[in-house]
Amino acid sequence: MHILIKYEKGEEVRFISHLEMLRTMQRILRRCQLPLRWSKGFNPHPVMSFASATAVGTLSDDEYLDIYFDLDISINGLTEKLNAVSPVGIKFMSTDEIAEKMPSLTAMLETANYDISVYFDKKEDYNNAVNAIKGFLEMNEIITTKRSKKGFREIDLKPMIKSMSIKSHDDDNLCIVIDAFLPMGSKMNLSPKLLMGAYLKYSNVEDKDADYFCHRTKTGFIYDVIEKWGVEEF
Amino acid sequence: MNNIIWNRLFNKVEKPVRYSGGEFNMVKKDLDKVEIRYLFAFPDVYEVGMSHLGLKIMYHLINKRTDTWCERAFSPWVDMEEQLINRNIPLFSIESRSPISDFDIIGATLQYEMSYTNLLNMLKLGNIPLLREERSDEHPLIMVGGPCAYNPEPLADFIDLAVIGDGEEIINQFLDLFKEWKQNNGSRDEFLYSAAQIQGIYVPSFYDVTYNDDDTVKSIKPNREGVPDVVTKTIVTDFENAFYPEDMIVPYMNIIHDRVVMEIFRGCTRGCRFCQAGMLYRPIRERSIEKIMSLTEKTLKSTGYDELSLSSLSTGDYSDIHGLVETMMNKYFKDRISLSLPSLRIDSFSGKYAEQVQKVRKTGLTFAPEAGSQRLRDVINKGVNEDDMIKSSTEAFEAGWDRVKLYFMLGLPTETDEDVLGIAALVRKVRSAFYSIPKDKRKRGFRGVVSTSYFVPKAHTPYQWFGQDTIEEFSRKQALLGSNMRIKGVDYNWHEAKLSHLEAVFARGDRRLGKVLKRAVMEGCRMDGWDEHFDYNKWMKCFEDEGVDTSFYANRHMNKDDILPWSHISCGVSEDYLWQEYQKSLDGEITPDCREGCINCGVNTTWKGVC
Repeated sequence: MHILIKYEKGEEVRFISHLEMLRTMQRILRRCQLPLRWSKGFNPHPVMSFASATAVGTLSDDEYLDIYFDLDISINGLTEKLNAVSPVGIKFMSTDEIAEKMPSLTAMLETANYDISVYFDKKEDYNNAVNAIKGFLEMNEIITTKRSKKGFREIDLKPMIKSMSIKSHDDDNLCIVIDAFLPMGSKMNLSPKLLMGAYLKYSNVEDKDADYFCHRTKTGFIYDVIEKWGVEEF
Repeated sequence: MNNIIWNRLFNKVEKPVRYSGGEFNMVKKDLDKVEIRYLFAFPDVYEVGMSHLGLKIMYHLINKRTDTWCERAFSPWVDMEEQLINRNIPLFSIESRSPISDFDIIGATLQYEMSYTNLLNMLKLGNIPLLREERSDEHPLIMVGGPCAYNPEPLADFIDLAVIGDGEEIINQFLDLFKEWKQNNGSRDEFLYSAAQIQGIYVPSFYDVTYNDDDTVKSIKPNREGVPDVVTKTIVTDFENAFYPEDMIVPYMNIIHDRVVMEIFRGCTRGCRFCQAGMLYRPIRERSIEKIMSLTEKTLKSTGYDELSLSSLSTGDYSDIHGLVETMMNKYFKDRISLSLPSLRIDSFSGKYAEQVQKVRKTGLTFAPEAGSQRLRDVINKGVNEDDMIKSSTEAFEAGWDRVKLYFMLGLPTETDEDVLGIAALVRKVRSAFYSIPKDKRKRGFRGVVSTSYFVPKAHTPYQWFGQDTIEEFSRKQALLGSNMRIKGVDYNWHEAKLSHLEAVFARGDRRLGKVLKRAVMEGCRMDGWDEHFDYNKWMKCFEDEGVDTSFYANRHMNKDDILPWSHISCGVSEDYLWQEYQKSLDGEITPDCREGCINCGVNTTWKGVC
């Protein structure tokens, strides 16, 4: 059996890394005593994969992972079962049976929506950032340096930004919330980190004078996964 | 402090998960409903502290009480420390993020001498006066426990009390007393006096220490009535039913021991003369196989861990180790729980059962011969002979192991250069044993990791009178060995001896070291166990400025009639026994495992019939 699980990464677990999330999920699954399918070889672990990784410091309302069972069981109440043995902050939203054979979740990723909250130390920086968004988005190209395995390379972010705007700003707390719609996946990927780095640099704000926190509000797939590969339970 | 400020703080440091909490099975209580606020302070970073079984036992045991909330705090890493100081944020607890000065009691475990500065630094970051005499009844009560608490004298100026022995045995009695005292509004002194009536509680302020002209201790005496001349440790007598945290907290971070650690017995009967733990944790107390299986099952179910480790001072010596391992393998193999066995003695290890254990996942093979020659092994009473060692290694290699870790010490009493070189010779023999096996019956290449550490004489051991080798002597021996350790396939790890010299100072230190510790903390010494932060020169300047000669504590051979700075604290083993063992050691005479026959160490007298 192949199961698609949707979950949220909340405030209490904001700072755990993806690897830590992976281990946490493995332990949650073990606590439920499910008939998990195990990997072969030296270090057997439950066969599972995540659609995308959520960085340290990032929250998400819309995360997905898939697991396999070796037996056909009823998944009625599985979501509640998982929540009963989860730490506060990880909340399971739904579990659905999907086809055994289908592309990986990661391969089907397309976009992500983010609310990015930025906090400034200096009023000057806050004002600069608020005023800079228009100019930033109007540039013909946004060249930034990205670190890759081979070293550093320059890329142009402009064609990758699907949309970006300031959703709200708070003059008293020197905070702005940016709404960003970005590509995510193997075909095209723009991390909010890279985007924010470029934007803050353009606004002349130093890294140490501001903090930003990302909140992924939606994960977009090429297809509606359930619609295309969902299996009805009889 | 609101969420945003916390998040912005965590965003500025490496591994914020060290501070953000929220772990599965973390205990959260309502502050309004709690009468005692207890803070378990572990004086090292999160990933070290959360690997400590003792913390989990105490944390969950204390939290079973409805009137008390036990929270945790760890030494902040240097980047967080900088942020706390710059932003004027006091050191905070993980669960409620309260300043540590808000707590009624701060209990710290002392696992290691060089963590003393970390503990004092935590108090400093919490804006709590370091010196006991500068604290008022409004400040938290500062108490310590763990192995170093058996000689807590260097911390006498700073702590209110020390728990000697198994803290879990008396903690409830202690907290009941505290609650009563709090409700009755007595003075701190009154509380300490009533606490001192509990066996195992040591209150340093109730003892006066005087010194001779030659700087040795003249006397250690109680300065009031109703306080014991000698504080004897407390022990868990019913170990079978001793508390074990089945719903233990599961860290997110990949800590050092990220698995269920099951304590199968406490104590050790081998009597290796250098080993402090072997003396401190006597008598030996085992859990039955049934109990072990029951606790393990519940804990694995509750935590979701997939790895289990059997813990004790010498796991191979468990009375029915083969039965235990077989029972575990039969139960857990299909659940893919891997089982690892640390601290194996070579002679109790046999390829057959280790093979069973490693069926799921092969963990490393580790042996600690400690000395390179049979003569020296007999001196230290680690009476394992070379033939057995080679035989066991060979069996392991035939069962598929190709990696071995070997631990040795330099500077053991009576050590000669021949003994030092014996280490290299032994390593070569183990390697040869691997290659003597036909190619098709073993793995391809031998990989050995050899580590040497410097022997530190510890209180309450037969070597408590022995003066440590000087740094120069250690360096000479290490260089001698190093030049002989260029062996193919073998990595040889060693460190400088300076840190070990300071360990020895505090291990055999007295109250006069308090002023050095205070100066060192104020000068910024902390995280001394971490190479990049240990500043030997800074330390030596502190000793110099306070007029303390480190060699007096580390290198001096003490005499039988000397009053040792810890002689008012007892682990149940008699001084006569320790001295006898010391003398036997110098003659190279072995003392057999006391499972074979009581050797009258004193424990069986202190607690009648416990062995």
